[in-house]
Amino acid sequence: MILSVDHVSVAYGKLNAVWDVSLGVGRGEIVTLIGANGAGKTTLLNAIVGLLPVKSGAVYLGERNITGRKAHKLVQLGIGYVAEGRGMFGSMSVLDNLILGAYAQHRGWTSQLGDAAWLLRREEFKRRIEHVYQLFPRLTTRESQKAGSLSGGEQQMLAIGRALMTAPKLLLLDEPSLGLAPTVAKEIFGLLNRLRGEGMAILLVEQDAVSSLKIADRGYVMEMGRIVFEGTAKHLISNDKVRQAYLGQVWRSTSETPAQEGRNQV
Amino acid sequence: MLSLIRGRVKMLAIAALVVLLIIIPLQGNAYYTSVLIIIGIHAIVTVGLCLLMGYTGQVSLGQAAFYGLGAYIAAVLSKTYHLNPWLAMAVAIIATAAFAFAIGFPIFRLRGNYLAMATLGLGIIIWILFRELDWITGGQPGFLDIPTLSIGGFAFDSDLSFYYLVWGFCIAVMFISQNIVNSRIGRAMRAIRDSESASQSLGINTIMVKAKILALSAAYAALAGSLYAYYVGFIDPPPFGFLFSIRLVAMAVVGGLASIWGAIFGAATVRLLTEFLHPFGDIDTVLFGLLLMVIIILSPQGVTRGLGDIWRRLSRRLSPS
Repeated sequence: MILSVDHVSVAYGKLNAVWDVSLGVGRGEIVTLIGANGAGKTTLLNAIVGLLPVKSGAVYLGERNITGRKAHKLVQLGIGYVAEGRGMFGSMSVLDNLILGAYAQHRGWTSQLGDAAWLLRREEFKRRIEHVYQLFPRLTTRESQKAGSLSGGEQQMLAIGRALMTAPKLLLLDEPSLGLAPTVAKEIFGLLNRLRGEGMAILLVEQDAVSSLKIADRGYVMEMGRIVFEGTAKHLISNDKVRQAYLGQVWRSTSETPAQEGRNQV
Repeated sequence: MLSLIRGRVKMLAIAALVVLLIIIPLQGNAYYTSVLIIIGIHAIVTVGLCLLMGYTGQVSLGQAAFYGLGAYIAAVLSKTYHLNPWLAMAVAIIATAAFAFAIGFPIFRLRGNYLAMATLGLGIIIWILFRELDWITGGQPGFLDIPTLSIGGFAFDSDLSFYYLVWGFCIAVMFISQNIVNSRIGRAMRAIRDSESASQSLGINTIMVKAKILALSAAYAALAGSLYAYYVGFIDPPPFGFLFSIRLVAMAVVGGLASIWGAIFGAATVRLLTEFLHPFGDIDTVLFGLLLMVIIILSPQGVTRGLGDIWRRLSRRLSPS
């Protein structure tokens, strides 16, 4: 496993938002976390990437215990995070946004000197930026445009591209399809598929359970801060309870999977 | 191509400004020269505030305190402890920056209005210390007979020589700041302004960056403060109080918060207004409040940007196509 979350609870003050959650994501695997609004999905992600403190339990990246590490340190260990709402640096150009993605790799005293320092390490940087442009050809034409003036879909592409500039082993995405036209969302999901092929471990939080289960290998369903179902994506899709609660009538089929109370292996 | 032309125009404008600054004092009017010296000193503080407020998005209503610390540390060390004034100035800058850096870590846990209140409180506390620690600072009556700067046998004791000294420092500070803005940390600053959590998840230690920029702005303020002390030769608490902090914010806003060279324009406008309004007493403070409101409503990018927009609109309307 690249990411292992081991019995993690997260609280806002005295209020527990995530209860005793365990999950794992392996190399070259897309794992999706689905659930209604307020189920604790974003809270869990924020705790994994160090933006929120973990109350109990532990988070491992490979063998390394990363519980309680600050967000800016985790980037150097290989965690890329695409937050909900994209977190664009709207006043800066697309290129500057991407350059900022490589911030953590661009270290040392020379980095303080200005843009000239970039030239010293240009090869590695260029390779990475070309990879991003190859994945999102649309960003190439927008390079010098302000990020704030991009369309929603382009901003989402930039947000993912920027996270890829950190050279992550593990990519966490929070609602990447939110507010996007279906065709654009499809494009984004297609891209995640491609990244999986490159060996990336991906944890995908989505409200659009249908689309995310379609591309995911495995899935977890969260309710009221707890994981109530887990299993392969195929099994989750055919599970009655999951279907009723999250997939709508479209997915009603004749298969009869017994649904139990609490946490189920399906 | 367009950015290249814009870059050229900017270089020309800066060159013109430098030439203008060299020529102006040769007109010989001592009053104008003294006003320009003060504008230069204020512009140095304003640039620091622009880096902090305009580029990093962090409010400071206590910048006058760093200005005062610079002035008092330089004055006390050079007069009471007979330290070389240059050395005293260096110590003042380093000590003030170190203090700001240390205070940055607790203070930047706060945001927005709370940060404004905290910096305001800090400014007032330090101002009270200037007034009450009278065995060190001279207290209310002030601190007299501060020595002036000199190199070898040449003393900066005339307004003309001090003018060139101040503006030399000012231009240097502008160039350093422009470089910082275009560097890695400059990008991090703007990233923090646009989205702090996204900055963190890209590996930017946001509190560290903010503390560094606060320290840099404090260093600029201390440099300006020590220049002020050496220029006037006398300091007392009033110029380092809350009202000056507000005036500094006005200078930064008028100049266009995220504009390094606009700081000179902002400092000049606010200073000249103060000079014109001098006969009317404290009314200038009321006017700066109004000015701030009007600018933020009509042209939140600052007056320099606002004028640029008006110019572009006019030229578009006047062009035949």
